[in-house]
Amino acid sequence: MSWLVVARKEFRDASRSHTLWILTALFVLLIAGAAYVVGTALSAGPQVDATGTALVSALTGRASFFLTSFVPILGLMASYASIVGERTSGSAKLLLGLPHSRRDVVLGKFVGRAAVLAAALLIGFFAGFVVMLSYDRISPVNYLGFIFLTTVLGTVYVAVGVGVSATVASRSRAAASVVGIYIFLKVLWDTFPSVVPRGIVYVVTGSLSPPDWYGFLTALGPNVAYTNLSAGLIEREFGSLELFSAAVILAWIVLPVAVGYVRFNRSDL
Amino acid sequence: MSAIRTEALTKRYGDVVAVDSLDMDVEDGEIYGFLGPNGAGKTTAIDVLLGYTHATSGDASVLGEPPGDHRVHDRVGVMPEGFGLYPRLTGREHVEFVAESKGVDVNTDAVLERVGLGDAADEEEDAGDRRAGGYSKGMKKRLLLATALVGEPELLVLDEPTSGLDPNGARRVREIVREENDRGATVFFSSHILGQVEAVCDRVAIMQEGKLAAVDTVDGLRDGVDAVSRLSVAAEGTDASFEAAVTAAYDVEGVSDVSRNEDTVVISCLRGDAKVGALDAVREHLEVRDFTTEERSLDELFAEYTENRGAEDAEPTEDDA
Repeated sequence: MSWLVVARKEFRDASRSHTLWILTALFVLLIAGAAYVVGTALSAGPQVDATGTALVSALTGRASFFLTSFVPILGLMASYASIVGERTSGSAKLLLGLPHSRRDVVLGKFVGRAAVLAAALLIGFFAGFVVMLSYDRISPVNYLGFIFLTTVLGTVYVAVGVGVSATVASRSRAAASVVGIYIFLKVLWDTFPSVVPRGIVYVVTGSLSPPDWYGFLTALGPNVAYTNLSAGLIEREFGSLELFSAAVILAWIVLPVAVGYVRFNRSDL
Repeated sequence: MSAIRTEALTKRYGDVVAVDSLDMDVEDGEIYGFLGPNGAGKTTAIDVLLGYTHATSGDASVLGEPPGDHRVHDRVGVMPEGFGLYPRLTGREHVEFVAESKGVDVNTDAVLERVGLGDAADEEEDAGDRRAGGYSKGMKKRLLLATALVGEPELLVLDEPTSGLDPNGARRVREIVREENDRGATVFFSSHILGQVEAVCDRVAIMQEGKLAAVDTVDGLRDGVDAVSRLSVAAEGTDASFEAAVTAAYDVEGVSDVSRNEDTVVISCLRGDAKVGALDAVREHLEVRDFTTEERSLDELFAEYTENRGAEDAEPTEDDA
């Protein structure tokens, strides 16, 4: 269980990062603020009761943009330097001078950093929960499901960040790469007008009107897959799109880590 | 058995050959000094042995296992070059992480005390409880040495362990190297400064431009060096006779190099008894006016290995075009 030793070291090390704590504090404010604003708006609306259930629905709904904007930033920030930072500082030689294989290192980095991110998200969601306590009919099942899915979304971006970090040889290249990935997945893929998926549709069908497989195409992006799963959770619906989205999320976790491992295994420190 | 063995080990980075067909054999239980200037390929060789980089060709083994086999690192204590530590972890946490990684128990206080990071009376705070990010270079080196010592490894690989340390710290490193060797550990000690290794090492290898230029005991190197001398002969004669003298001197056994500097012939001798023969050879062709000899120390020999050869390379060459 060599990777577990690395993961524990990572957790301790990364949880002392000031940058990460500042981002976590921001996340707490955003979650609590969003819970408050959404709650107030719902209370003011004549047709909807201000219930915890409605609140979670509003937070996770397709219109809710802010989690898929902010959680990826947290995940990438928590991971992009995890391996390349050790290469540039020289501590990778200390780490790999110990009886850890490179697989243990990549896996331990991923698990440790994902745990740090999960801890940061849980703190934020607890703040949201405290705000929700002021409303009737809290829906713990929905909220727990929502926390789980959001943590998985964060884990996707930790996997991407660790994969990038294992592949490149300099910190600045890692930073540039994760910014590029973020822009691609957030701005170009799932933000209206979804330039890339629509471009693909245009190239394939010669028309701009979305075909019936459009939902599956967009679900290839982790943010959309996450939104699909959240909606499925609230509506208690689990069809082929949700299943596909879950598979996509899993692939987005496994593939970047695996590719990162293969590249890191071949590289010279 | 050999603790470390390499056969025709080669590492290329593009066109640059960092390690050039290196043959090396570190015996079990010895203290092996690995000397060479910065850029000679010492760290690259160590990087290959520890699996940090992949060899281009050739073979190597560490404690009988191929390099890059992380399991053998259970039995190896590594002190890497540089100052690479985790700035957000304390000294104590570093030692504990290493012990956990190796699956051994460790008396952290004792290890830190041993390298001079214990609670000193004049410090208000125990250095081991401070984060490594706030350490001086010397303290970082001491902590890296401490991590190498965890678990009484069979083999210690120390890459420039004394650089960045003050003379007291460097002496402490040598004491620890001796203590570890007395315990039975093989020590591989790299340095670019001869003085750091000559006092402790059983054998010394001098690396130059990716190859071993010499391997011997310190005494053996010194004996060899006592005989190394330079004979300068001031003489008169035609250019042709100077040329003949240079050629004749070069043919004398034990002469390694001959050059002409205006009316002086400079002869480098590997053996003391070569000087008389060389002088006779010159006298056959030239009228000798005077001669001087210089004996050189081990330090100078090392400087010769490490500096003069570099300078030769730096001489301007004509363009091929």
